[in-house]
Amino acid sequence: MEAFLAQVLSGLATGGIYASVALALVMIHQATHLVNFAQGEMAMFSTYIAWSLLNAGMPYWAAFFLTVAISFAGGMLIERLVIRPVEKGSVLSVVVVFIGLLVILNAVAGWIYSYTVKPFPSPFPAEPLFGAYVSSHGVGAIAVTLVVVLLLWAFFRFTPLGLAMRAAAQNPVSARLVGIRVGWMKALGWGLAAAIGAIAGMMVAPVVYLDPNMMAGILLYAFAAALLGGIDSPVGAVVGGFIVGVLENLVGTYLIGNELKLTVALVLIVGVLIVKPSGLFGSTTVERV
Amino acid sequence: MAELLRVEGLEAGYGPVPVLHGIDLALEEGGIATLLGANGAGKTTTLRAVCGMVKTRGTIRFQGAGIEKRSTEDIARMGIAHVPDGRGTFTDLSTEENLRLGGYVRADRAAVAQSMEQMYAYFPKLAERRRQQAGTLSGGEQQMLAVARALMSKPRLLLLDEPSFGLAPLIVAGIFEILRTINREERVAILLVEQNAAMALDLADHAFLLETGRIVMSGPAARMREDETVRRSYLGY
Repeated sequence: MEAFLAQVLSGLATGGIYASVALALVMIHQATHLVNFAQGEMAMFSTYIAWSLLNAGMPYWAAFFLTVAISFAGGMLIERLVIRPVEKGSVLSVVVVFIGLLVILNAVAGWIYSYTVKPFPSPFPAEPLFGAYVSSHGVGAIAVTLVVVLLLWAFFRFTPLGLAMRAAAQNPVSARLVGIRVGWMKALGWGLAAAIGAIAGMMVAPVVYLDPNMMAGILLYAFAAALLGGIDSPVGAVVGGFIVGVLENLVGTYLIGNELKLTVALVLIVGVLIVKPSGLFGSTTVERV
Repeated sequence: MAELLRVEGLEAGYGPVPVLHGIDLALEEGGIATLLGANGAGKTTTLRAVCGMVKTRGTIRFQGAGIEKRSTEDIARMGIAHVPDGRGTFTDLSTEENLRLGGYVRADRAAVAQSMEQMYAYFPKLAERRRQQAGTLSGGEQQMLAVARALMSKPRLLLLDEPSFGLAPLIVAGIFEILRTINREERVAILLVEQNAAMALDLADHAFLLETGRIVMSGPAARMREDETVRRSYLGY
């Protein structure tokens, strides 16, 4: 029983990370109705930026927030320079651009920082909490995820800018008619997603260590989480993240062994798409054609 | 009275299909003009062209400034509010959020709140539906919401695309009554596209008759109503 509890708790800790990446995916999907395959690599690159800042002697939290700010600007820049020109093209061409972005970010990170695995510090104490079941870092990562979700919720719920972003995503034509600059709202969505991704990257790096491929598996779990929760629901992304984290851990430990854990994500993705494509919290939309 | 809107030689279309073949029209500050015409004559396209929603050629001057090259967002910010066909409601948002979005471009938050109360006074039904998701409102209520949202920006010019569409006659009469009040009290000029020519000519002081992308007749609404062709083709008696 104790071992079981430990597995659940550590599942929650990794689930928090999946939740943040899933949240970033949902953000971009909300703003642009696209699923960003390069989200993981963007987060990885942000984490390298944080690593550089830390190596330059910056205190952890200063580096943390500066990285978030840089990533925000970088995300907006990517939208303006790379995504905007192909946005009106077919879905497939946008997907190809996403894949290209993924490969380029991965290669550039490898080129600048090399593919050697690097340790990345955690801001939380090394002593475990709750009688050794779960690391302080795990608890800290969950707390950070929840704070991010709360801030996002408040932003979309209470600020005029958040309302304008929702309006622009939902009905771009009407949004323009009330004077909302829809193009900027999309860029803002990308900026927010990049910032959330950066936080996820900095939370995951102490666990999986920093290397250019660190997000590959995580992105797959995040896809599963976002789909399970519903790709248009921020709350769903977070709940989905925690469910996937726990499920992955339990199935890995008790059923199929750790080597085959990644298949859990794939089975989940296929399963959700077959049984309930809108996910647990997503809304079903009907489109007239 | 000062001229608010002047359109000259306006051509517009969708892709390779031209819809408007050189339209001229003008509207005075605080005036009400209506565009009449059969389906496909180009009424909706004319409104879209004024708002920069379709590619155009020709000149569109609003308060003396050329706006034909401006983006829809900029035109909205300059004081032209468009109630599009299909109403353009943000269906997932609440009534109140829809109204708040209408006032999005205004900096003065207190004045926006005041306008919101004003709208609830014009349309008491909307006040009852404050927190309700806009998509669940009835057709008439959604039309009221669309008009109220447009007015929230304190526009100088209101473009209305078939406000009577799909509504019961009694509701339509109510909406037209409010439009008259708003025009008088807020000094908002109105350019109205309407299938119901009788009601439109009743409200407007000036009318333009569109046929396949050209203005074929225009004049004071009262005179247009007496015209033989207009009467037979559009008023049906």
